[in-house]
Amino acid sequence: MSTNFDFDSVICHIFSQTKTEAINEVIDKCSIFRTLPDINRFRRAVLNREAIETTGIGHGIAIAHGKIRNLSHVQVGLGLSECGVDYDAKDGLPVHFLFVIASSPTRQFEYIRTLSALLRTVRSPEVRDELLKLDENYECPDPLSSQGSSLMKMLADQHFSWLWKNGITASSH
Amino acid sequence: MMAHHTKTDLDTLAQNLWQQYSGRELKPKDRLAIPPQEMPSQAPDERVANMDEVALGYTEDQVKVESLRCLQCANAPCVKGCPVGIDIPRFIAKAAEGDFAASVSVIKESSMLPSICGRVCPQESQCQLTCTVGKSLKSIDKAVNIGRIERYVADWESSTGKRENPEVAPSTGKKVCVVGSGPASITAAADLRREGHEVVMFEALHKAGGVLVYGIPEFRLPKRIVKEELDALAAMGVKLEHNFLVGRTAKLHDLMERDGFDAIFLGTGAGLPKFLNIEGENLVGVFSANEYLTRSNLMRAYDRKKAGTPLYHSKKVAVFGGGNVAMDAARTALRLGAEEVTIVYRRTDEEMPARREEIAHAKEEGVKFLYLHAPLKILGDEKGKVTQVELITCELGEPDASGRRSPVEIPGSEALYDFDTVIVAIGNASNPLIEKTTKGLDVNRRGNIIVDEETCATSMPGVYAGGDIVLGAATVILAMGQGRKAAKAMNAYLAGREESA
Repeated sequence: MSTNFDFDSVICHIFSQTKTEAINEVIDKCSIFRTLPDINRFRRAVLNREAIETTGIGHGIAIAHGKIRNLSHVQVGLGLSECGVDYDAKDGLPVHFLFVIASSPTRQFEYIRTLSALLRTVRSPEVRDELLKLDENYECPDPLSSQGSSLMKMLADQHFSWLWKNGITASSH
Repeated sequence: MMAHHTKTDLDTLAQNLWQQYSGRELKPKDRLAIPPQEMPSQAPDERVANMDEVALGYTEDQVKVESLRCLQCANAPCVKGCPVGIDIPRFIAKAAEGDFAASVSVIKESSMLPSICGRVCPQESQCQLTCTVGKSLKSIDKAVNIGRIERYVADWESSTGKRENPEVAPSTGKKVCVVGSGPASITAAADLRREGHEVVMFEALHKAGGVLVYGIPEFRLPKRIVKEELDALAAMGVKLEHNFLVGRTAKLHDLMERDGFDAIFLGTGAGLPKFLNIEGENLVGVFSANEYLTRSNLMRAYDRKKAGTPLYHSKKVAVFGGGNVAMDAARTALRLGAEEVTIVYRRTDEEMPARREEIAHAKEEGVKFLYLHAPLKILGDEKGKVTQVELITCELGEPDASGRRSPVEIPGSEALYDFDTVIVAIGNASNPLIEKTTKGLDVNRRGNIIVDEETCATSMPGVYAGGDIVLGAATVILAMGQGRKAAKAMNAYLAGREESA
């Protein structure tokens, strides 16, 4: 995994216990979102989407997302919660892995591909354990599993695809 | 001020909580809902009249309930906050199970002195600062009380007599000495002795323990606890030489060349009081906090029936400074019979470097706080005794290099205040004697010995140093960490010498 990357901009530990606070905490702590043209509009988009139906899909995972115009690429931040966020998730369990995705209406294909790539990694319980063990510097003391390092690489590069190149490819499917 | 709760009350509350929460699967939410356990303490009006320890320690139910509050975080941010990296979640998990023996042995993998660190470590700026529970509840005061749990399990070990001394390896024939007997030296001595070296500890005073004994008052750290640690060293075979002042009784070079020590650890500490250098500082009734505390702690001036140490009878005491030592001095003055004790500090409550708990204890006991005032001069009568202090009012200016807002004096706001005793507690510098009497030992401009960060090796081969003599006045746990680091490097150095010999 890329060692010299500053994961601070894309991963954070969050301590909020409610959904709205947790989403805001991820948006505030992941500096990648500061480049958005209008961060408050993005916040509202994410929360409005959440009001329609929860994005807590179970197993402690939630994928909050909002669309704003004119993004050149999809951006993803990840909040890790040790104590769990009360998220009204499908399975009723607290959320420990809160992805927040910024996308544009014109980037629907890229967005779907991103969702798919993220889910392929975090659906493994091993990867979820690894994520919770990440320290303040987001360097895991033990070598990460291939799925885990693939997720870290995707976050670092902000390039989300399992169809292309590197380590784990589509060949196994 | 919060009402005082007795130990029995707090224990009853804890028992109820234990029944409510034990023996079932707890989700993080449940754990966050458990209230933090308050430390039982002597009632303020009682404790100012005695020297006994103020904090009484958790009860068994309290420690188990407090331990249930720990979320057992996988990324364990608390461990990163600990200078010696104790496996905190693991020792707390054992404590929650009631397996205190296992709990204390987890701590002892990384720390030599849990009963001391549990009492005097500034946990709120170390392990408890990064605690997930505190962050989730948005208050550092609600973090898991790691230090109190540590103290309980360490006290449990010594009160049940289950304490085991580390095994000592067969003799290596090497001879080493440690200079000083404070936390850095105690740790280094134990780790060196364990390896099988002959270890001699030199202490300048008639009683060992360093700052733990002369500096920290009985009511914060009972001396029997320090004595237990020193007894453990003696049982391991460490020889202790009292009244031996390295630099005078023998010089460092003598010890190496004449007395045949193969390696030396210097842990001489920061025992040189700093003064303000203002007019009147030489009057009768002006003390350095160091002297004042040493009289009371080491020389037991408070114990008037047994000790012959003269006591200065004070009515109105001013303490200059806002650190832990200032709090210790103020609280000691009250116990020695002063009618009124005032802390005079240049900044405000917020900038005070002392631990929150110490400040709260001092306030409960009736110590007064005069913020935003700086001393200009001390005035005396015809006999040379302190009568008044001239103070000037300050306001807070821009933050300085240390990030604290620096005080700016307001011209024309000078005023005289009646005091008969002044205690200066504005910090300590390194003990200068060894540096002054040893050629080839490099120190920085503050007089701190310069060492290699990884090995604690000084500029002289075979000589290592750690604790306040390197760090400047710091904390017990940092001193201990350095003692350990140095001992490891010294053991390697001595093993290397064996091969080449």
